[in-house]
Amino acid sequence: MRAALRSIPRYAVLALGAFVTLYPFSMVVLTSLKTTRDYMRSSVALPAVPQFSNYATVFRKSAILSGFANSFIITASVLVLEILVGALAAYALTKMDFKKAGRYQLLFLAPMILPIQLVAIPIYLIFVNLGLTDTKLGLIVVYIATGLPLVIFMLTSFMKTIPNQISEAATVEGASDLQIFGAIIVPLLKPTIAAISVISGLGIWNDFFMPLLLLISARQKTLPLKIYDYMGQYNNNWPFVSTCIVYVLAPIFVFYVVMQKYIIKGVVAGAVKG
Amino acid sequence: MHSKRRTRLAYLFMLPALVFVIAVYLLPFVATVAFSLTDWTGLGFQFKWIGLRNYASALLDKNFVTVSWNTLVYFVELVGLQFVVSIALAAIVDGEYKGAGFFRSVFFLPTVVCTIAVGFIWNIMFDPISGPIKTLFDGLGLRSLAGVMWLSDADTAIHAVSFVSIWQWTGWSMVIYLAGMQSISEDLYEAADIDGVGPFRRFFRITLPLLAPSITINLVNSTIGALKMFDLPFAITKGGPGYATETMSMLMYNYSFSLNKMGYGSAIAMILFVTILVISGLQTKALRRNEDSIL
Repeated sequence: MRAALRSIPRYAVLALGAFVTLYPFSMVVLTSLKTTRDYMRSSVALPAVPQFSNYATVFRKSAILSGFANSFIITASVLVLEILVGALAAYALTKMDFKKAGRYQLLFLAPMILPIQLVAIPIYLIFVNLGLTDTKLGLIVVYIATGLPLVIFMLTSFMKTIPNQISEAATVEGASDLQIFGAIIVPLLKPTIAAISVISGLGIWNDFFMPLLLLISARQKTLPLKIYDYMGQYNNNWPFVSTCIVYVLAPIFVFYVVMQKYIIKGVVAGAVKG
Repeated sequence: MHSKRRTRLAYLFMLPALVFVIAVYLLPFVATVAFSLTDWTGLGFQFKWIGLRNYASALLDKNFVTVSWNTLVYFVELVGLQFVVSIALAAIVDGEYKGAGFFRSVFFLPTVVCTIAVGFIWNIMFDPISGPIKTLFDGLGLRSLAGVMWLSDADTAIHAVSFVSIWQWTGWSMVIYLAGMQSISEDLYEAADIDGVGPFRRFFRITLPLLAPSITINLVNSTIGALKMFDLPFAITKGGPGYATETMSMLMYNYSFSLNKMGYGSAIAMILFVTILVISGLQTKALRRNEDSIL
């Protein structure tokens, strides 16, 4: 009983925190079901009659589906390629008795302190000249490069924990490095790859700056850019803006609930000591 | 094993990664340094080398001075407040009681949401005509607070943007502190219990000092985040009113891509980079010394 009483302040703080965190999301869901007049009357009350038609209207007008498709294609391509490229490099750095491994590791991690803004102007100009602006390929190239430092960091730290005896034994049996990499190392990496994928994938999915710089046509725009354009247009129609936000939130919330374990693992493992 | 052949193979394995790092980071970095010394507009190939004049004009640029001040405000607020709130939350959810896992999940939730969406959500929250925050203050009878136009008043806008950023990212730091707390040995706490140490002294004497590595990571991370902030002010206030919430990244973007001053924009990008390098470098050094003195 006394223990229960003592936990009251703790739950009070937690409830307040949860309210501050969750209220804005529930408010958006509520607003998405209102008419503008409903909203003007009160932003906190329930809608008089739920306006599910907002969802059809916004879906049509914002062409949000192509935003989802573009973001998905880009994110998936980057993840596959950056993990392949990063794993090969990490293998060379940790498992091949490579003498200059330390120096190269530093070179691969150095971009972590270079903000993308620093290299954005030249990247833009190079891409204009190569015809890579307004293409998915251009963004994919940028994201592979920006993702690699974290991928290489996480994979080398993990590969270092794999005992060398395994690969040495395989070498004695006559296995080549490519065989050891594919048949022994990669299968062991699965949990690390899952953590990298969710954390790196979220960053790409939510990125706004590079698409803003590189994408022009509505057909190519990624989800964040698409919703930015749409919401900018309907700035005074909060129910439409809210509906658009709910479309963005719903899949990411489902993803979060399903993948939470890996997301948290990725955040902790990726926390690089500066 | 022929070690020479193996070294060559190692280079081959690293080659794709090297190509990406060189093409997207190294060469563009050199290019930015070069551009920052020219008066290039970005249109055509005509430009003059003007030495450090872009850097000098930044110091005289009224907008740049405002933005530097804003950056300092963001830095102090985001790093300081997020540190206090996230470490307190981590201490509270660090335990095996009913609902602890649920609350951890809730506090982390905003970090997975796209910042552009977060910006618009809080645009509605702060709506000065009928938004929920105005409604709340009206309901509490706090007339003067209900009348504040949080995002369009130059005195409050930057703090409102800071608040939203902290709201979004506190869960991220919390998770890292939580992992740090859970790696602290139970024996220490048991010894403290035997000595009859209260919960507050326990936190300040054991938990906090042993969290030093997590503190370094989080402070450096949130510093870098605060200094290069772009998405949130871009979505929530577009840098306004005037330049009251504009950041260095936004200024660099506007000069380079809206006003065709690529040379000057590059100089601002360089200043941003050096600022990040110096501040996070000093921080790491100081915090590392702190870690060494404890561990």
